[in-house]
Amino acid sequence: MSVPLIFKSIRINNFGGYFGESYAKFPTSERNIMAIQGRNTGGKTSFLNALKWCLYGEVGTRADTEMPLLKLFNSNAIAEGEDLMRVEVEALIKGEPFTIIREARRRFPNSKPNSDNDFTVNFVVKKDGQVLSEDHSNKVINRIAPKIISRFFLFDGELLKEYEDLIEQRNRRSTFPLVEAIEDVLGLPALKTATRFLDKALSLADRNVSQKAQSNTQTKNLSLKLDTLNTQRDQAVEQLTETEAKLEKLERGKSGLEKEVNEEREMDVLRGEIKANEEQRERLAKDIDQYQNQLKELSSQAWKDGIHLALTKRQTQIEQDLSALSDQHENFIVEEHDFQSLKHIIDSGHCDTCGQDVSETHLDTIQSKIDVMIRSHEDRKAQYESLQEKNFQARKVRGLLGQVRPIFERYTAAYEQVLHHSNELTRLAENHDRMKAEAQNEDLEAVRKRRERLEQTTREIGVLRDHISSLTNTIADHDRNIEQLVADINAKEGSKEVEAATDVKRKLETLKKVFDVGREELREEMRKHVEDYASRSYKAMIHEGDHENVRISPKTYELSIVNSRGLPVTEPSSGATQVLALALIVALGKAGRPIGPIVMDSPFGRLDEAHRGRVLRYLPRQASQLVLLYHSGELQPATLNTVKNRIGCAYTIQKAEEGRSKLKEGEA
Amino acid sequence: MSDNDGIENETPSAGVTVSLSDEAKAHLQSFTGYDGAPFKEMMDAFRFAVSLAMAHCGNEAPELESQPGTTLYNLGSFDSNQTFKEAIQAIAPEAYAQTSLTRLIRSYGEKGIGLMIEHCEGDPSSFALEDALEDIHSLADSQT
Repeated sequence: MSVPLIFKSIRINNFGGYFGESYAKFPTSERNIMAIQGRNTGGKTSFLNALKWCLYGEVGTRADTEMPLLKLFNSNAIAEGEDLMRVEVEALIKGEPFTIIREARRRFPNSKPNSDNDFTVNFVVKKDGQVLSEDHSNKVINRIAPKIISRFFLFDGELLKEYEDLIEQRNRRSTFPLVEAIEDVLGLPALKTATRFLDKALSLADRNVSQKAQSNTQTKNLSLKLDTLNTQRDQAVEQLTETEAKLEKLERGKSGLEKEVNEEREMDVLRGEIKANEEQRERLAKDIDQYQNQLKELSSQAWKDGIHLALTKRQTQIEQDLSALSDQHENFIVEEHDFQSLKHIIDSGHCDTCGQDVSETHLDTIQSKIDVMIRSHEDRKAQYESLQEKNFQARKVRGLLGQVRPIFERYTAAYEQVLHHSNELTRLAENHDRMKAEAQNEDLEAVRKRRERLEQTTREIGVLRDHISSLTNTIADHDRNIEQLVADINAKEGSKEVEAATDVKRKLETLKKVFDVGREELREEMRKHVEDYASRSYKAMIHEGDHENVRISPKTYELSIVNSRGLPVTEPSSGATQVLALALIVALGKAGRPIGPIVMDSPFGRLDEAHRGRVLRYLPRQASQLVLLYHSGELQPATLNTVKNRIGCAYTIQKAEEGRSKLKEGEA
Repeated sequence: MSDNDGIENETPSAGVTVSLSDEAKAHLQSFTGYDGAPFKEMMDAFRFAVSLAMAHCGNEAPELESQPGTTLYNLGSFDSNQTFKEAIQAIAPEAYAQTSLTRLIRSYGEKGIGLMIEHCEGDPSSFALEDALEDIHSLADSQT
């Protein structure tokens, strides 16, 4: 079966941080990781946003509002009179080639645009080169990569943080975003609409009963009362619908505000982190200085390594010579013994071995033999001296080798420390810049206003909930009264028409009850489904402690990690929290659509290297493609190396200056 | 005759001073004297160069062309505890017997500086001592 969606290439023109044209090919083989490295504010998020904008025509902000075109259009391109912002994505949808193009053109290229009205947007989807209608185009995209759940496969660190907040006790907010996400995945908004249709049908059925009853004088008065009650009930239902819609809107607003207010509260924490970061960097810089001094000191002894090697070679040579000389020396000792024995015979004229005097003839023979041996005796003497000399040299070399201890290992260790500390320093510096940039965005007046708005929204939500409760009671009262009146009408007259209308009403009531129960069961089933997916993903990625499962509690949707005894892990580490958030997002993404690409922007913030490695090895197996936008401080080359066989292509975002980024194939 | 235009065997101070050709000296200077330089002192770089050549050439002391040299160091400061002297004597006894120590040090030094330049492909600012040390050790490993 062909994969529902595979990105083939992307061409970005004057979008976000990208000035001019940038082009990249996605990996389409089993090596399905696309690694894109870029500095902070270099263009990683712009890449993600380009994809979002091309597919859906909008890019959300942190406060859940839509980013205006003016902010998406590359500012340098506007300044230099470029009139087109364009993103083109080539993709295979169920194996068929599609081209998705979205472009915004300036209406008045000679004047600076001030609002979205100053742009014309075109959206074109081509299948096999044939342009599809806009309606058909949107349907194709929504079927394969539904916009409503796009944030679960085109996501950034922000979304992760949002989900982490649901887990961390200290930041616990309402579980509204999770409920909403699960309902989105489930398609519950459509089911809500269906419920309203059923309510409407039920109301019409009540009116139908009333209408049929009016034709009879005995039940006319009752039917008039029924009419009034139906009207009142309809009004109450209408009010309830409006109030629920208002409440939903406020809940969304509150969730966004809570997110921002929470971030503001985190600002203090952030300042603390900035300070800690600065202190840590100072310590690292000192350590680096220390190791560099150590390297300098060691460099003054580096000559020892060369001499050590030369001496080692020499030692080997001397040992070989010694071995050869020793073998010869054994023979010479025997010869020397013979020489001395013969010399003794000549001197004494007597052989000690046989105990006899030696004849003159024999003595002459022995003397000539001795003459020959005298000559080789000199050689033996020289050989012996040579052996002595070699032994002396060997001792000397051994002594020297003891004096020149190589520094290679110490040098390498110190050098690796410098490298390690420097990498860590770079990572911390990047974090520092990011945190500083975040901290600088703080506007105290805006903070105060947001807090006020949050309080106001919370109050309004309270009022609306009371109102909904009251309306629900009123509707229930009306329903009971209507029920009673219908029973009264049926009791007074056995009209077949009234009975038939009542029968329809009863059937609709039953249908609605069944539908409500079904909806709840479906929601519960999807909760379990997401919980199951999240648990499996979490277990595959987590690398610590007794963490057995992820639990999403029924009804309240509270998130927790449970251990093997089924008990909640009360204070999960920040790494575990981030892994859980990642698992949850992946689970929501997988539950809501067939397997497709995952594009992640800076997702490894607080994970340690071990977790980064596990996440990196797990995710490519969960998606048709994994596009990884990361900065150098986030992933050590060694970690990335663990999935090198899965990396299909690598790109670097090159930022010449602010707003002038380009994608370049290859690693940094 | 000044120290700047002689070679060891011809200078009055032969035997106590180590000289080096101007070109080698210029190369040597480029391994020190800037932030991140591989050596703190020029003498450290020179000692390393001599030992590198000793590791490469062993008992076959490099040929030294008779070209003018600049006095670089006094032997006493270069080899204060006579380790180089004894090592050269042990490694290249024949050359040691035939040639003055200062001349031998110069010949190994000139050769070593050439090897260092070769190692960094002519760009001393890219010379990495850790790589050079690793090469020495891989040389040792290849011989065991």
